[in-house]
Amino acid sequence: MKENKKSLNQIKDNKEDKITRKEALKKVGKYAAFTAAASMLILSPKASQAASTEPEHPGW
Amino acid sequence: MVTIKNKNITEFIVREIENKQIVWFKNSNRYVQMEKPAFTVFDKLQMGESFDSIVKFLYSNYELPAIEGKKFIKEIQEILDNEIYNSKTLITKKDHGQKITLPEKFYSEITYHFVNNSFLLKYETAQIEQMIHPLFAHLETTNRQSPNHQIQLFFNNKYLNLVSDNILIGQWKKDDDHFFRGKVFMELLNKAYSKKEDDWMSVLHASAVGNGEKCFLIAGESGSGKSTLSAILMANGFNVIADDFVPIEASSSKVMQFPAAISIKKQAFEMISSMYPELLKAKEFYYEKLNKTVRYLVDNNANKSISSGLDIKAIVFVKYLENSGMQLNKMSKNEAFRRLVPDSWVSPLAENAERFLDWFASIPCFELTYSDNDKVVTSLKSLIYDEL
Repeated sequence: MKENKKSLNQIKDNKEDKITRKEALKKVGKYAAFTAAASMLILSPKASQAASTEPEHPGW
Repeated sequence: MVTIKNKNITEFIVREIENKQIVWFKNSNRYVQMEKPAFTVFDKLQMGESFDSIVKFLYSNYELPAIEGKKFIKEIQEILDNEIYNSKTLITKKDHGQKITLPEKFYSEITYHFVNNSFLLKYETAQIEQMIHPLFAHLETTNRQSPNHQIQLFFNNKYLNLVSDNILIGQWKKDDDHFFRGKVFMELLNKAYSKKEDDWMSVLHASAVGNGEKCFLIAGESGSGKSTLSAILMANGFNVIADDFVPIEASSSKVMQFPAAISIKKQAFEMISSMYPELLKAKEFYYEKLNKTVRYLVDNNANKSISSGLDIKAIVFVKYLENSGMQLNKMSKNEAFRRLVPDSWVSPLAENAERFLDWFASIPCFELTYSDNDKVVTSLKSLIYDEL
């Protein structure tokens, strides 16, 4: 009987796990890949040629 | 594959690189990396396919419910509308409409021998001289014969002015002084190589190192060790064609020589001075804004003019990491593109953008992490001699 109770508890736990996974998926978004943010990346080159090191200019 | 919009106007160009589509938009001069579903939606939208039809397509191919599909399409449509119709290519305003008064007197006038040409640079103040001269001091010449070109750099009504051969090239606010310097460099290149801005495909924030026949680019964020590695390679028989500012010619996709001195940061002084003792006596410059101290090392090619460019074999993204030995691995091209583009100027002309995409698609990209100088030299020699 104890074993059965254990089994029932295990089954209960598994059900709770399943619910937790469902909730987790909802949070992440099953269709997360089908958003612009996830599937597109905009890259902007520099507006003009630039020297990378900033010069020293002690007081214009 | 090139997709050209109707009316024979190139509004965008597409290239596939490693299973992603990269789309360049003329209006914004921006590059958009797209995963397959997003690109498919974009392609259908620009072909004029109906909204409902695309929703059905997404459902049948990806099991995307209609409500999600509609959201997805709208998001993509908004981005594309912005890239195609709303964004304007940012152009540094050349003329701020200020009346130009040339200074009566200049603080200094220095003649340089730069790639088979002589340039007389006139600096209105010591501060302006400090912005340019240290990089080209090794090219200074005492030859007083008439210079080929004259560049005047001065401050006027709160703007930095660049006048080249008596033509105003542009004006920049104080905060944009890195663009001002970039334009001075471009003016030197344009005059030395008889080119215009449209003749350049790109200027990369990288170093170009080669063996006289071909070269590779060393790229990476500021502080990753690009210039330090260039100096190490130079001490081991390589030539440094350009440091920190790599101009790539449009029609050939070749790197052209830009003989500025190599900037060595304080943390590398000791190591580099063991190879180049002259570094110990070199003048030190402190850049307050970046909180960094540098000394300049002369590129061993500087006084030899290389008028023809060099083909680029590879791009190597470098990172110095203590006790890492040496690891050189091929990297994802899309990752390399993501790192390269925001740090580069790329020509806004459609034919040059197409060249840039073609060039990038053909170039292998590597990631290098190192602390062992000997191993990195051996490995990069193998790279340039096609042994990798």
